[in-house]
Amino acid sequence: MRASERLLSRRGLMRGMLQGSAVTVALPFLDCFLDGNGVALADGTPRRVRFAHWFFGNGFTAGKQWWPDKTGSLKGVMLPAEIAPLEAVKDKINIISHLNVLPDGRPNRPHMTGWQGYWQGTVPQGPSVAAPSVDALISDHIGKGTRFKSLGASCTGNPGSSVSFLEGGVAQSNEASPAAMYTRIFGPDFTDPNAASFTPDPKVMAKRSVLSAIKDRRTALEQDLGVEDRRRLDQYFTSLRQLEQQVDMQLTKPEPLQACVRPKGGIDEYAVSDQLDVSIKTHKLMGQLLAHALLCDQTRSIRVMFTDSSPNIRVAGESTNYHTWSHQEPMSGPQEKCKFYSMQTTIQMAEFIKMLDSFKEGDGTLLDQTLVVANSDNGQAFTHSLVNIPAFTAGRAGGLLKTGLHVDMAGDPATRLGLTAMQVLGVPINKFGTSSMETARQVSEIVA
Amino acid sequence: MSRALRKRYVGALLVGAAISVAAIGVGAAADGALELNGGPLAMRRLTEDQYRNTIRDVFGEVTLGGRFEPDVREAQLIAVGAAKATVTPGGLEQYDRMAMGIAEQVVAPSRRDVYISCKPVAANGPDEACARAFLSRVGRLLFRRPLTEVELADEIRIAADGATQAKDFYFGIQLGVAGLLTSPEFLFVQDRAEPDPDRPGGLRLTSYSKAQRLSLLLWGSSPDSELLRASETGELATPGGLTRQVDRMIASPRFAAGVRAYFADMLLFDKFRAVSKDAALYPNYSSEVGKQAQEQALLTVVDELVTRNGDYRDIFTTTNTFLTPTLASAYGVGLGAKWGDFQQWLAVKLPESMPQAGVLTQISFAALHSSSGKTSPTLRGKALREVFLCQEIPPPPPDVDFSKFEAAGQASSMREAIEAHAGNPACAGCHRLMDPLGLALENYDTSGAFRTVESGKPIDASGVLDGVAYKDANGLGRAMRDNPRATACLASKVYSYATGRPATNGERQWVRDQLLKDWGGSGYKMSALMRRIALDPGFYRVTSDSDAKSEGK
Repeated sequence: MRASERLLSRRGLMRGMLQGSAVTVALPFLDCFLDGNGVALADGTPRRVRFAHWFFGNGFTAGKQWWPDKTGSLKGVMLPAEIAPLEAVKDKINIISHLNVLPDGRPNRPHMTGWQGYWQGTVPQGPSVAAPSVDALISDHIGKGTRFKSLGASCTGNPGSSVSFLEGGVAQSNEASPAAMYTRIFGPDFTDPNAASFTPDPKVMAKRSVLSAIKDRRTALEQDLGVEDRRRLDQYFTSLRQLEQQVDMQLTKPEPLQACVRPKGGIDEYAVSDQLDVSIKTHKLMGQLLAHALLCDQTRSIRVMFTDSSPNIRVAGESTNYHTWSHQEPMSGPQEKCKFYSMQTTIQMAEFIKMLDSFKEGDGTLLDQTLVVANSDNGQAFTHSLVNIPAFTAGRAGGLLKTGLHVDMAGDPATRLGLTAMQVLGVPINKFGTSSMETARQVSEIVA
Repeated sequence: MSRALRKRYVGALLVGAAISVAAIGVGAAADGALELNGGPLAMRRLTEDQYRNTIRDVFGEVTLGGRFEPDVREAQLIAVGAAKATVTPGGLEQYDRMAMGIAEQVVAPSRRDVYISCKPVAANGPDEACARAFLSRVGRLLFRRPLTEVELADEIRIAADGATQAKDFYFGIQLGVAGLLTSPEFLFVQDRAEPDPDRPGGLRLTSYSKAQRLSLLLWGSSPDSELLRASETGELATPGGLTRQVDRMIASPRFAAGVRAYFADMLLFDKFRAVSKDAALYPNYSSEVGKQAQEQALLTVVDELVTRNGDYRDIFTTTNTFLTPTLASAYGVGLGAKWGDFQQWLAVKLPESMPQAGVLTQISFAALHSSSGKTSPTLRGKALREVFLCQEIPPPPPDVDFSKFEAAGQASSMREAIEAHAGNPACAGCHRLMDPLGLALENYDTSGAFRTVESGKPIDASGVLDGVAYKDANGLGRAMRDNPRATACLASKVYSYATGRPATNGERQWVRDQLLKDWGGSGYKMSALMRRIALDPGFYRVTSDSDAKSEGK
């Protein structure tokens, strides 16, 4: 049945919601949203939208305009030099300029405040925010039935560098080694959905009872605990449920997935690091593995830290890294080094988008089914500015998003982008952020 | 006379969520000594080191086929961050993987008879008696207390189900062991309180909580069977029993592992996993060198503080250390023809021509607190202040005017580049605390290799630490050794490490005014410091945080 034949049109419903006083635009997966524009899966299986967060530190080169003058359609618009590598994918992305993190007089802690405000919605007085990040809220929602709620990769060799936080502000670490990432996803515990035969392993079945027994002792365990420790134990039990789900999936014959191919193994362990050529290699391998994980429905939410907030990437043989250059090259000068690293970052962002777009799924590509948010945490690194922090989206999330646009946010809180991502992907949330970072407004220009 | 305020102890406290108890800061005992009155309960996640040590102590050498979620650091210590840490889905996946792997090795045909003293009636099915005997013994060591009947019944049922499903008794045992290792009762170390008979209305740790606190402090591991026995019989609750156990633990070979675990935490060695050096500029550095450098530091510290039972302050001046050929070449020192095996550790003294400041001039410090392409006197100085002197350096202001550094790229030496900080009042305040200390270590490049010149010019390593001037790293080492902050810092860190939480005001006061004095009297020996803490009855008292704070003022 086509959407137009239905009583409710998608657009009409949304307009109605936006004009009402309660702006709960948590787009539910009503059938009427599965429009006839060719974005639904050809085999008629329900849409599987995916989310990807691609993070880079240091923003773009200080003082250089990275956004186009013109807002609206990017058709016929020449992208500024800073983001020229995105020219090839500009019909598949949106440029979101002039998003700010507003600290309300709280301290701007270099390389923390930016992503905390942007992604956790709060600029804290102290060092940390006890709240989940946008990607975690999305993973909780769209990743309910998958083996991994989300998978994260660090391309700089540092598993501890992460801007992803679970409930209570618990940091989620990332995989730093592509070989380990391969084993985790496609190692012995992987169940190939397209395998000819399926025999559940009785040993795995027995393992199920181990986990249930632990779950049954929960009440006794929580008895003497204070609020904070109980919350930590709750997180343990949330993780236990995820583990149970993984075991269950090993015991259930999966639905065949045409687009799923188990990638060939044989990724060698190598010394991962923040040396630029090594980071690029890691980024490529990780991107491919994560894309396969999406195609095989092992997860619906992925995270890529191309660089850390304080990006120590560095060309082999050079003693000074990007972060140091960003404080040493005067803004008044040509900033050759910063421009170089900024360009490398944009090239890799474009590569990531192209890579997702290279995988066919249904009658479109993996990118078509995905919402990618790619952002930094500083407007420019020289002064750790929280103004005009670069952000992009890519992909159409199965038709829920428009692409090919430049939207000028005119200094609005960066949480508007996070809220948009959450609402578009169905997270039941009607506002996000605290103090001046609180918002109930989507970036409606990019919502289909 | 104690001036401690005491509220009435309410019977419901132990089962209630909030324990609001006796408000106690620090009291004065009859002999004028300060009285320690404990603090709140903590629930800590086992740290990576504690997990590894426990597995080794319970099962011997087995391979851990997983990767640990990064530990959380708070107040400079993982041991304190552990009381905030939880288990994420990714983390539990790894614990599960390790648990299955460890359990598989325990029941492997080549090993099972070593661990499991009973034999099943039939190897192809369940045997409740044998499963009970084994799982209750191992469960007691892993949960750091005897299993409850419910827990034991769970594990026996799991073992029986597994044995039936796989037609293999040992697979059942494997599942039982894996179940124990994946349980929150193993992964989280929970303090529990009971009424303190010596202080009506007051609370103290239960004997089992006392035992686990002791073993984490002294061994970096879980209690052994003997310590659990002393908990069970009530012996640990008596002063004589406590002394006997503490002295036994300090005399045990596991004490060295405990001191190692403490220093691996304090020296921030978890951060090594993100260290790399430019391969073209520093071809002698590798991740293997990084691993060996940590081992070198820990061997040095254990040699000084445990084997020689020396003075803590000597770790800043000692020239005794250990090297492998790989490390020697990373330092750039001659080997002689002593070595045959490239992994072999030999006790050595580095040549006097190398200015040395004990652990500060070792690769484990020099390389860890530098960037990948060049040294960072600022990072080294900051680490020195924070790690050894407990002085926290605030983060830089976000909007620094970096224009002073425009010429830094052209500076001919690190000193010249870094001294630009001094010219900027916004920077100078903090940087004068860090940079001079780091510059004293410039004889060691970013990979930790020894050098005397930088860009063709001799290195000037002079500076001042808290009013004491020095010419080179030797002088910095001596200035650190004699700096009273160094011992005060260690005492307060070890105390927090011991409790798994930041000290309350009352505890801080006790550490400052009592512990430090007593420790000094013993010649700053590591064992004396830990023993002094472990034998104080106040160390096991349970008081509420807020009350302790208000009293401590």
